Formats: sequence, structure tokens, C-alpha cells
Amino acid sequence: MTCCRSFIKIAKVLFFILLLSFFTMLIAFPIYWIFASSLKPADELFVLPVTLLPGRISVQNFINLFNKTDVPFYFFNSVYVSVWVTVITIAISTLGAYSLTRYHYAGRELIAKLILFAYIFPGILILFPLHQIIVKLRLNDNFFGLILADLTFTVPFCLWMLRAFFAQLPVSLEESARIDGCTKIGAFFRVLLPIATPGIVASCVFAFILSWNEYMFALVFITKDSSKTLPLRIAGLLGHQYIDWGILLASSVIATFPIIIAFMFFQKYLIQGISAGAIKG
Amino acid sequence: MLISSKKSLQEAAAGYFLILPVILVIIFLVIYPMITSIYISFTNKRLGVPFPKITGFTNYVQVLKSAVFERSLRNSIFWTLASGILQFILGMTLALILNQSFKGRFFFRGLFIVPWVTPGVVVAITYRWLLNGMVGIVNQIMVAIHIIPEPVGWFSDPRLVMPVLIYINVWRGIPFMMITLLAGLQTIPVELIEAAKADGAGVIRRFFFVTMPYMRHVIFIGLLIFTLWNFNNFDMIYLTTRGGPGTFSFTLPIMIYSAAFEEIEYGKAASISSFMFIFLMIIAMIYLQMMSREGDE
Repeated sequence: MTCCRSFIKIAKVLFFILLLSFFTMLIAFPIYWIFASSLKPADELFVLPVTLLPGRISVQNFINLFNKTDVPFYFFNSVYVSVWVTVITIAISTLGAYSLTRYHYAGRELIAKLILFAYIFPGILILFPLHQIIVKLRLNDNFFGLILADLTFTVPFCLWMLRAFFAQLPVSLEESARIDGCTKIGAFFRVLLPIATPGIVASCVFAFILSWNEYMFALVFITKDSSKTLPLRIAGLLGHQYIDWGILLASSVIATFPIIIAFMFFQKYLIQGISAGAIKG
Repeated sequence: MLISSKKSLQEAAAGYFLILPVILVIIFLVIYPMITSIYISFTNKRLGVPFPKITGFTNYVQVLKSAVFERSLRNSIFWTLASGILQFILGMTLALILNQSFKGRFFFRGLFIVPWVTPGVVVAITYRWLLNGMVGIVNQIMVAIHIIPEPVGWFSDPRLVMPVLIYINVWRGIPFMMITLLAGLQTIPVELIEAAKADGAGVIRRFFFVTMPYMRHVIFIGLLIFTLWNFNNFDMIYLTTRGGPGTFSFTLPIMIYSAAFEEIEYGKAASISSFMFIFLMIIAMIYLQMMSREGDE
């Protein structure tokens, strides 16, 4: 009966909307809650019953953040580290991925497996040995030590992703460039890189986000307050006996903000990157 | 095509040269430290011992006897399995939802990725705030609708702390799983689905007999990556509870960190690392076995 069929159709749509709303709530509510809470004035923050929307919008928490703590300073530390990690990672990974996909030499597949091994290798296992090496080299509390440590996970990850990307691109374009007299390296810079831009952008975004959010190595390698990265500094605030939630919430917003912005612009590349890695495996 | 041997030698040299930085990074920053760790595990290196001596398997035996290790191992296994399964189920559900074309689909896709790009420390703060014993909104709501009589100490109750942490970890991991599975879903040829529909297969049947089998490879890769990622995870638990209350939310990574940097017992930390490494090798081998079996099919 037609009315039965349309009833089922409506039920399906309703079910779909229900499911979607449920998950949106589950995923988005915590994020919303942090932003909303950070804008609540102190007297509304700790009062029961809790209000869903801030009664009064107040930026007092942010003002306190800037006046009472030095958190914004660490913002720049994080930027410095992340930018360096990204630049070095991209430089090494693009060349490496090119080598793995466009050159032929003995042991190529073995090296690919080595990189896979490094990719899945847990950072925690090398945490303290690497720390001892870094201390011996007097690189602790030095950004360079942290940058090196971050490379241990950004390089395998980006290399793997770029390899999947490059493998998908046809060789014919480079070959015709070489017939026209271009060197192999020249073909790399003039033909491959321009076409591979989405993949490279994806790698940049990944390397930046991964190193920005990185906590474990920073925790151990940086002890001098002035060299701390943002996540490290904020986590330090969380550990105290007396927690100033207002400042903590405001600092969370500051820490997440650049990521969300970068993400809004580069969402497409991020998804392409993960998808490429998923398919090629 | 005839390639002169000199040219192919040149090409090989160039190839090696380009991949050299990567190899150097891996050798010096991954392999060398790991070997160092294995060596240290056989010594008594700790705070107050300026010249460590070889002590054989002492560290290993002591670790095996310790109750904290047993708890860490149990927690690690529980954490990895529970997180992985939930991340898969929920990630798959969201991937299926996003695979439908509907208005605002790209907006939701972006929204659902947010948990993964958020810094770990922010996630920890978010949930400590949400589940706060006194002013957390979750407790508020649950009391208001009479699920529980009074606010719960989500992070202070030893029985609740691991499940709560697992939930937080699942929340954080869903986006990556979702995108991975979505990529797989989008490779399924439409004709296959249409054929199944024409044969009268309902939604559920189609999913289990067409979709899932076709995506075997992607699902496999996803589960492997997540099993490893979850097992090795240090950040989420440490940032949220430091392994507390006491040692109730200790997992193997947390225990290694605690041994090396809180107790300053390097020999102990190194031996736990070796155990964890062995465990990972076992997991990897199981997966390789399953993968070669898949390849034969």
C-alpha cells in the first residue's frame, strides 16, 4: 500500500535525523561547553544549577588569562616548534616519498617496511632513552631537541601518506618532461610538486597539528618554564591543588582556536590525506 | 628500453641519497634509543647509582611480580580492546551516516572531525570540567533526571575511572576511524549496491554481505592502526588522571613513564618497555598472519 510505503520512508528519515542529532550532541556538546563556560563570569561558573547558555557574556576569564598568567607567551613557543617540525618534515618526506615511488634500487621495499615499522613504533618506548641522549647532547630545554623528537612520529606518518599520494600520480607527465630535456630532480620540482600540492598541503597540516598537540615529549624534554609549549603549560595549570577553572577554560579556548581555524581552511586536505593512507594502506 | 648500467647506478645512488635523511632520523632517533633501552633493562641503572652494573634478568623478574604491573597490563588490554571496538562501531555508524548525501553533509563531516584535532590537554580539561564532581553539568543532569541519587566522582572512583577514560578516548578517536572507513565506503561501486537491492536485500543484509566484505582491507588497516594507537597511548590518561586515583588507571605506557621519571628507576622502566615491545610484536604478528590469510583468499 502506498501510504504504508511513505510511512516507512518518513520513519527512515526521522530515524536518520534522530541518529544525526544524537551524535552531533555527543560530539559537539563538550566543545560547545568549553567555549560557553569560558565566557561565563566567575559567579555564574560555579553556581548550581548550571546554565546551558551564559547568562551574561563575560571575557573576564580571558582578561585574567592575559594578566595573571604568561600563557599567551607559550603560544609563540608552540608556533615556533610546530613550524620548524612542519618545514623539516615536509622537506625530508617529499624527497623520501619521491625516492620510494620514482626510483628503483635494491632494498627499496625493505626501506618502506622500515618506515612502516617506525610509524607504528610507540613513542613511549624511546621516551627516556632519547631523553638521556638529548641531555647528554645538552639539547634539553632547547627547542631543537623537541623538534627532533617530534620528527620521530611526523616523518614516518607524512612519508607514508605522501608515498600513497605520489604513487597515485601518473609517471607519464614526468617522463614527457624528461624527454623535453629536464633532469629527474628538475622533473620533481617542476612537474610532480605542482600536481602533488594537495598531498603536500595535507602533510603540512598533519605535521603542524600533530606537533602542536604533542605533549609527551614536551613534558619530558622541556622543564624550563620559559621554553614550554602551550599544551605543556596549560597541563601544568591543571595539575595544581587549587585549580582556577576560569583561566583553564580560557586557555583551552586559546589553545584550540588556531587548530580550528587551520582546520576550517584545510579540512579538505586533511580528509584527503587520511583517505589516501586508508586506501593504500 | 635500454638503460646503461652507469645510468641505473646513478639513479640508485640518487634514490638512496633522497631517502637518506629519513633513514638517519629512524636509525638515530628510534632504533638506537630502543637498543639502549634494552641494554639498560639488564642493568640496575637508577637514581643514586653512578656506575650501573649488569644485573641480568632481575628487573624483569621484579616487574613480573609487581601488582602494579599486573594492573597496568590488565588495564592496557581492557583499554585497547574496549576503545578499539567502540571506536569501530561508532566510527562505522558515522561513516555510514556521512556516506548518505544530504544537505549540510560537509558541515557535519567537519564538525565530527573536531575531537581529533583538539589538543589532548584541552580534551582532558573539557571532560574534567564536564564530569566535575561539584559543578559538572553531567552530574547535574543525571541527578535532575534521577538516574543517580547524588553526584558521582567520575575520576575518583576506582571502578569508574577506566570506563570513563575509555569513553573519552573513544570520543577522541572516532573522527579518524570515521574518515578512514568513509574513504573505504566511497570506493564501493554503486552497481554492487544496486545489484544487491535488485536481489531484494534489505539494508542490514546489504551491509553485512556487501559493504563489509568489500571494505575488508580498509577495515583491517583501520583496526590495526587503532589497536596500536590505543595500546601505545600515553597522553589521554596521563593528562586526565595522571594514572590515578593512586594507580588505578595505570596502563603500560603510564607505568613506564612513572618508573623512569617519577621513581627514576631506569632499569625497571626499560624492562617494562621490553615487555610492552614483546606484546606489540605479538599483536603485529597476529595481524600479519591474518593479513596473509586474507591475501590468499
